[in-house]
This record gives sequence, structure tokens and C-alpha cells, in this order.
Amino acid sequence: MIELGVSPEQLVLAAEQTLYMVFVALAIGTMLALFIAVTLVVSRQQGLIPNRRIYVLVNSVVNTVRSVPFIILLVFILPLTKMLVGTRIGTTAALVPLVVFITPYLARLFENSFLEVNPGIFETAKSMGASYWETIWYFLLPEAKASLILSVTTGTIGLLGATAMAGAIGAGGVGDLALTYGYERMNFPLMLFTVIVLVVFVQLIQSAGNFFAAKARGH
Amino acid sequence: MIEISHVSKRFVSDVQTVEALRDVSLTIEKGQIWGIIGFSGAGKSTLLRMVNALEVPDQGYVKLDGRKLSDYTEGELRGVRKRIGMIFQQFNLLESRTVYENIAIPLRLNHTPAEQIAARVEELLAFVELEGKKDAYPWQLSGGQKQRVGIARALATNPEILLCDEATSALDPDTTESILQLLAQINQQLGITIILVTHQIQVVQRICNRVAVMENGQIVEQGAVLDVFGNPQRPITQRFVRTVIPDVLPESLVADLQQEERAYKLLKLRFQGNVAKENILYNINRRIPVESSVLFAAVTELQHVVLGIFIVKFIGSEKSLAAATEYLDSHEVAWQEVAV
Repeated sequence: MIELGVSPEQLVLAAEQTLYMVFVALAIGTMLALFIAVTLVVSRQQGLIPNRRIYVLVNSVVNTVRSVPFIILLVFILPLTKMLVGTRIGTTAALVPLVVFITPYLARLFENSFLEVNPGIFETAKSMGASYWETIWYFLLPEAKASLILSVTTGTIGLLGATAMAGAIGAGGVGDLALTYGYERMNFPLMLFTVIVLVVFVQLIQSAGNFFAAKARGH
Repeated sequence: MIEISHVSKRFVSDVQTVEALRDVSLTIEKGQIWGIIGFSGAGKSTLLRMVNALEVPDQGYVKLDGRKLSDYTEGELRGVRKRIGMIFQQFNLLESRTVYENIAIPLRLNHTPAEQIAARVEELLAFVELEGKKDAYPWQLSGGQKQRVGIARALATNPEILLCDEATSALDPDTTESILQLLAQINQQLGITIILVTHQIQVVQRICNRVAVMENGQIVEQGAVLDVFGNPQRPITQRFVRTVIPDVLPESLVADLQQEERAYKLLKLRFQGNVAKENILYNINRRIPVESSVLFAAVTELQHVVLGIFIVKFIGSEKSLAAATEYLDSHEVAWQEVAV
């Protein structure tokens, strides 16, 4: 077997750290992003409850956060990280910037998913006497489900990329392993190995996303 | 009873202002099937949406069972809407849900217990003849089947009124016919009042008993289908009616008439109901010295009443022509002189 220059334990730990960061940030980010995206869609001019002030406010916050590159965001919000999780470094500390990074990204993707929904169903919902909440719950969310799943898939892959940079605040993970042990020690086999691992991750995530989206569409 | 009284509605946008409805009044009695017909942009869909308060009038009011819709709270309006079913041109089914789930939605909104939902959906599937399609998704259905699902969904909560917004406009003629039969059945068996908006006069001819013709946000003509079709007053109504009951002479006949050397009179006769079965023309020819020939005839059945439009050429003296028209009047045949 090719010598990778790191112990199998280190590899497993790095993989665990990456998965931990991706899935915890994804879970929190998805919830927050759903809330933000629903707010955007509902408050827009043609929405269920048009409210220009709320729309403009949320829309600009999303744009502002999305304009900061992740590596800068990572260090820029260190005080917030310290406040929320009590430390500025480590895997858990990386969750804060990862969530801040992925939430507006997912919110935009979700917003697009919601906008794809046939607007006729909102009128249908209203004609059935559905309340705003019921319209969101029984009409908007189910109809957008398949597209939302694909958005989460895209978001997950974006998040996987971002975790590589989280090494900058000592979060570890596969990407960090590749940089510190692979790049800085000029260990090409290790770099190749981590790249392959990441490619496999992405393939698995995308396939799973496509599968569940097709299922949600009833195909 | 639905009472629409002096309703006006205007849509203002940055680009333009549209007068969608201008002083529209309409009274709809329980059990009637109203057809609201007009070209696109005439305001008919806006008028339909006034009935379940999807649109709110700028002026005037809509009363349902004697109470103004504007007096209801938002919560009460939701209750009102649950008593009014609605179907759409594009069906508006949830694409990600099965036929069963689509029909169950209004019941879920009413918090109906699961067993009752199952029973009711089965019943509705049988009514719209889609028993085998319970677990199908909308993309697996034809247009006609989708509209049947839409109808079943609209009927789920036993509404008193059914609003149809161009419900057959996206369907082929055969499917349109089967959907119209289903709507007629709903009206007869369940006693549901139906209001349908359409640009297809055939739809009105086929199932409506009342019709309102709309143009530029106004109702220009309304009444019983038989009356309006039998004697359309406004140019737009005549245009619509003419496509199903033609009443103009073909070009070639007009050319022939110009060769006629004798004095003649062209009369358009309208026979309605049993009158159509009497031998009016035979009797005229036998009793009065006129020569009559039928140049053109169209016979239609509306609301189980026969309606015949005849264009007859009468040749004879002034006196005998007067006698002929007198005979027509005495036998309740409406007539009017036609100029070539």
C-alpha cells in the first residue's frame, strides 16, 4: 500500500471532523434558511403577505453576508464565535462561521425553489379557505420539496468546500489534512488521496440528493 | 343566493390602470348554472373572484345569503370560502401529491378525521369516475382526468356553490363534453349552484340556463340562455351566438337574390318550443297568396327547448305580405325583416 505519511487514526478523525462540521452546520443552516426563504417569498411584492420593509431588510442582510468570502468571514466573526460557543478555535468553533456562511446561501437557493412553485396553487389554497400558515405548510412546502432537496444537496457540497478553510481556525477535517500534511509537506499521495475522498463524498451527496428529489416528485 | 350589486374594480400598476369591472350587477339564484362569457380581458374572471372574495370590490358589494362579504372578518371569510368550491383552467393540482392526497387537502384543512377522509375521497373518486387513479400523480393523468381531480377536490367539503374559471378551456372538444356532463350532473344531483367563466359559447349553450355577456368590464346582456340566444341584442352577443346558431345568409345566396326581379321580402323567423313543430309556413302558403321559400335554416336545442332560425323569402303583393306577417304575429313567431 502507498505510504500516506499520516496514521489511519488521523484519517478517520479528519473524516469525522468534516462530517461533523458539514452535517451540524447543514442542519442548523437549513432550519434558519427555510425561515428566511419563507419570509422572503411571503413578503415579496407578489407574495402572500406583501411587506416591502421586511423584504428589503431580509434581502439586504442575505446579500451582505453572502458578499463576504468565507475565509474572511471565518476570522471576522471570531468575537461572535467566542460569545456563542466559548472558544475561537476547534471544530465546534468552526460551526458558527459555517452556519453564518451557509444560511444565506441556502436561503437564496430555497427562495428560488419556492419561486418555481406554480403561483396558481396559492390562489387555490386561498379559495379553499386556507390560512397563511396552512398555505405554507400544505401547499408551498410540499410543492417545493423536491427542489428544496436539490438545493440542500448543492448547499451541502458548498459547505464541504468551506470546511477545508475551517482549518485556519484549527477545525481539522479532510481539507485541513490535505493542506497541512499534504501541501505543506509536499506529500502528493496524501493530497491525491484526500481529493479522491472528497470526490467520493460529493458523488454520494449528489446521488442521494437526486434520489430523494425524484422520490419527492413521485417519480 | 348571490347578489352582486354595482361592483367596480380597478387595478392600478406603475404601467397602467385597468378598469376590470364597471358597475356590474348580477343576481344568482340557488341551483342555477350561470355562464359568464366574454373575450379575454373583459373582466369575467375578476367578477368570478368577487364571489369568494379573492377579489374585493372598490365600489359596490357582494352579498351571500343576504350578508355583505365586506362585513365578514378574515376568519369568517375562510369559512365562507370552504362552502364555495373552485376549479381552474390549469387545474392547479399539487404536482408532488397523489390524486388521493390532492382531493384530501380541503378535508385536512377542516381537520377531518383520517377514516372520514378516506371514505369521502373514495366516494368522490367514484363520483368523478377515477376509481383506479387514487395513487397516480398528476403528471400521469390526462387533462380531463386532472380536471376531474380538481372537481373532486372542489366538491370534497360539500360546497353550495362551484366556481369554474375557464375550466374547459385547456381541454379538447370530447373531454370538454365529458367535463360539462359532469358539471351538469353536479348541478342536478347535488343541487350545487354553478358559475362558469368561459370564452367558449358552446359551453354556455351546452349546460347553462343563465348567461351574462361581458365586454370592457361591463355586463352588456344577461338573462335566460334561451332568450339571449334566441334574440341577441348587442353586437358582441350576436357574434358569440352566431358561431353556434348561424343566422346570416351565405354569400352565394345573397348573390342569387340580387338577380331576383320580382318584389320580395326577406324575413328572419324565430320559432321557439312547440311553435317550431307547427306547420306555420305550410299554412301561410295555403291561406295567403304568397310564395314562400326557405333560404336558410338553423335548428338548435337549448335547455330542452327547440329553437329554429329561418330566413324565408316571401313573394307577393303588399297586402298579402302584410297578411303573412299578421299570421306570424298571431302564432307567436318572432320575425324581423332582413336587408341583403
